[in-house]
Amino acid sequence: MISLKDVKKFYGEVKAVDGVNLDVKKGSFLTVLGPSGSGKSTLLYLIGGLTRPVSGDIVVDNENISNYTERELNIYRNKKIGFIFQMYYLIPELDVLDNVLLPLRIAYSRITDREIDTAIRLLKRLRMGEKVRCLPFTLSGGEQQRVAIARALITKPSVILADEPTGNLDRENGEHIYALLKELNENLDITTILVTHDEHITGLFPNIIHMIDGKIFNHR
Amino acid sequence: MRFAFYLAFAHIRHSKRYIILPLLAITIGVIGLLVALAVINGFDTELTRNIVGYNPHILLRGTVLPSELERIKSIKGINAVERMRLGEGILLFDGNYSVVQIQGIKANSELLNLESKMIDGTFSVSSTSNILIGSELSSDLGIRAGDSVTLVVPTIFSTSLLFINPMNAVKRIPLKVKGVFRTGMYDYDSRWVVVNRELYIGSEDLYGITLKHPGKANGYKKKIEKMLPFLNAYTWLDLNISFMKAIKIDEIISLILIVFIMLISGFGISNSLLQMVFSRRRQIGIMMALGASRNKIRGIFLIEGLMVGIIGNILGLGIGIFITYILSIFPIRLPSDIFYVTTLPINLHYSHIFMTCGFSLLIALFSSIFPARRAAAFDPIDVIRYE
Repeated sequence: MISLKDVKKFYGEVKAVDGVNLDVKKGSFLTVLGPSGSGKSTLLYLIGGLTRPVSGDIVVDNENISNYTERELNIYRNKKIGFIFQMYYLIPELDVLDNVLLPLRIAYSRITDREIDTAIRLLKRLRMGEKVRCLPFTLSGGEQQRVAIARALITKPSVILADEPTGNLDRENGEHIYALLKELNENLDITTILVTHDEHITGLFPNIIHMIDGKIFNHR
Repeated sequence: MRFAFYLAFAHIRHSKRYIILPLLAITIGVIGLLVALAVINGFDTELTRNIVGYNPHILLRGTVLPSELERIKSIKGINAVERMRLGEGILLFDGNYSVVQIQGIKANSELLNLESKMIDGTFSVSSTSNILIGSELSSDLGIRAGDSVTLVVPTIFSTSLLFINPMNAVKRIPLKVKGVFRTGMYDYDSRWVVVNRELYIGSEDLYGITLKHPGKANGYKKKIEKMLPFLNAYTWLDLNISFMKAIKIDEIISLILIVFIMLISGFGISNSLLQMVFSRRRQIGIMMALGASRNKIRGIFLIEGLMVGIIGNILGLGIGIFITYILSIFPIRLPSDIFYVTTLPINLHYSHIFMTCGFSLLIALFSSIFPARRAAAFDPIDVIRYE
C-alpha cells in the first residue's frame, strides 16, 4: 500500500508536485498520464525515494519514507523499489546478466549461484535467455528495456516505478513492454506505477490519473 | 568494497581510452623518479667510494707518541694508522706547470688504494725520487711513466715574507714519474701527486687512519678525541664538507623537481578521472537510484585511481629498472672537467623501488580523491531527468 498525504515538492519557484493526495493499493497497476513538466516523474521519484518532499508524508508499506535517513533511503530503493527508465540506463561495461545482478551486488557484494539462476530464469521469462553474455550496445532498444525490467525485478521489489518506459521504443516494442508490465503485475502481485504521456494506453490500463501543474485531476 | 572493486575492474577493462593518459602519466613519473634516484644515489655512492677509497678516513693532527699510536691501533675497527704528509706544490714538466696536491705516504702504505687504478707504470713510492700522478694531470702536461719532472715546494712558512729572498722560499725537487693512476674522480686525477713521505715537501706531519666501516668515522673520531684529547681529528666527512653539502643540495633539488613532475602526473590522473566521472554520470545516477550509497560511488573511483597507480607502477618499475640496467651496462660518458666522475654512475637500491612505489601510489590515491568526491556529489535525479 502506498499513501501520499498532501505531498509537495518545489524546484525553486516551480511547483513540481503541489499537495498531492494519493492511495495506491498493494498489487494494483496505476498509470499517471500528463504532459511534459506536469510533475508526474517527480511524483515517481518521490515515491521511489530519489528525492524528498518539502512537506507531506509518503507512506509505503506502513513506513513513512519522508523521515528516512539517506542510508535508509538507499536500502529502501534497493530492496523495495524497482525502477524502469525511458533511457534504460544499463551499465555499458557489464553484460546483460551482470546488469541484471547489479542491484544485488550493491546490496550484498557477493552473488550466490542461486541468485545467478534466478537472474537467468528472469531473463528467459523476458525472452532474453539467449543474450545473457551480450553487452548492452549489441541489443535493440526493446531488448535493453527488457534487461532493465529484469534488473528492476531481481530484488523482488514490492513496487515497480516505470518512468516513460516506452518513450524510446517504436509502437510495436512499446506495446510489448506494456503487455509485459501488465503480465508481471498480475502474476507477481507487484504494485506498479507507470508514468507516461502516451494517451494511446488509456484502453490498456483501467486505473489512470492525470497530472497537470503538479496536481492530480481526475482519479479514476 | 567488493562492489566498488567489481565495478572499478569492469571500467578499467572496458574504458581503456580513459585509462591510457593517467596510466602514461604515472608510468613516466615512476620511470623518472626511479632513474633519477638511481643516478643521484650513483653519484653519491661514487663520490663516497672515491673519497673513502683514496683518502685516509680520519686525519690526526699533532704529535703522537709511539705508545699512543699503539693505543689508537688497538681500537676495534681501525685497519691502519700511518704517518703521512699533505702539502701543495707546483709540478713542472717541459715548460708547462700545474698546481698540485701532494700526498706523502710510506712505501707500502695501506692508506691509498691506488694499486688497482694504475693505467701506466707501477704503484711504487719506495724511493724518495719517485712520484705518481693522476691521469688528467698526465694528459694536461703530457707526462708519461718514466718521464722526469720537477716538484716545487715551499720551504718557509712565515707571515713576514717581505724579508725573505723569494729564491730561498721554494725548493725544486727533481723526480721520476713511476706511474699514472686514474681514480675516476676528476679532482683527484687532475691535482693529486703521491710521493714517499720521507721526501721533504714542506708540510707538517699528520697521521692517516683507515677504518673497516668508513661510514662510522664520526664515532671513531669521538673515541680517539676522548682517548687523546690534545689531538685534533678530522674525518673524511669533515674534510669534504663543502663537497658533501653540494651533493646534498643537488640531491634535494633533483628530488624537488621529480616531486613536481610526479605532482603534474597526479594532476593528469585527476583530470582524466574527472573526465571519466563526467562521461559516466548516467551510470553513477542509475547506481544511486538502485541503492548504491555515496561511499560506494566514491570507492569505485578511488579504487580505479589506485588501480591505475598500481598498473602504472608495475609498468614504470619494469621500464625504469630496465633503463637503469642498460645504463649500468652501457654507461653514458660525462665531460670529466665538469663532473667528478667520467661516466654516469647508476646505483639502484631496493629502498628506491619501495620509495617510488609508495610515493606514486600516494599520488595516484590523492589524485583520485577529488574526482571520487565529485562522482559521489551527483544528484541522481539531475542525471536521470536531464539525460
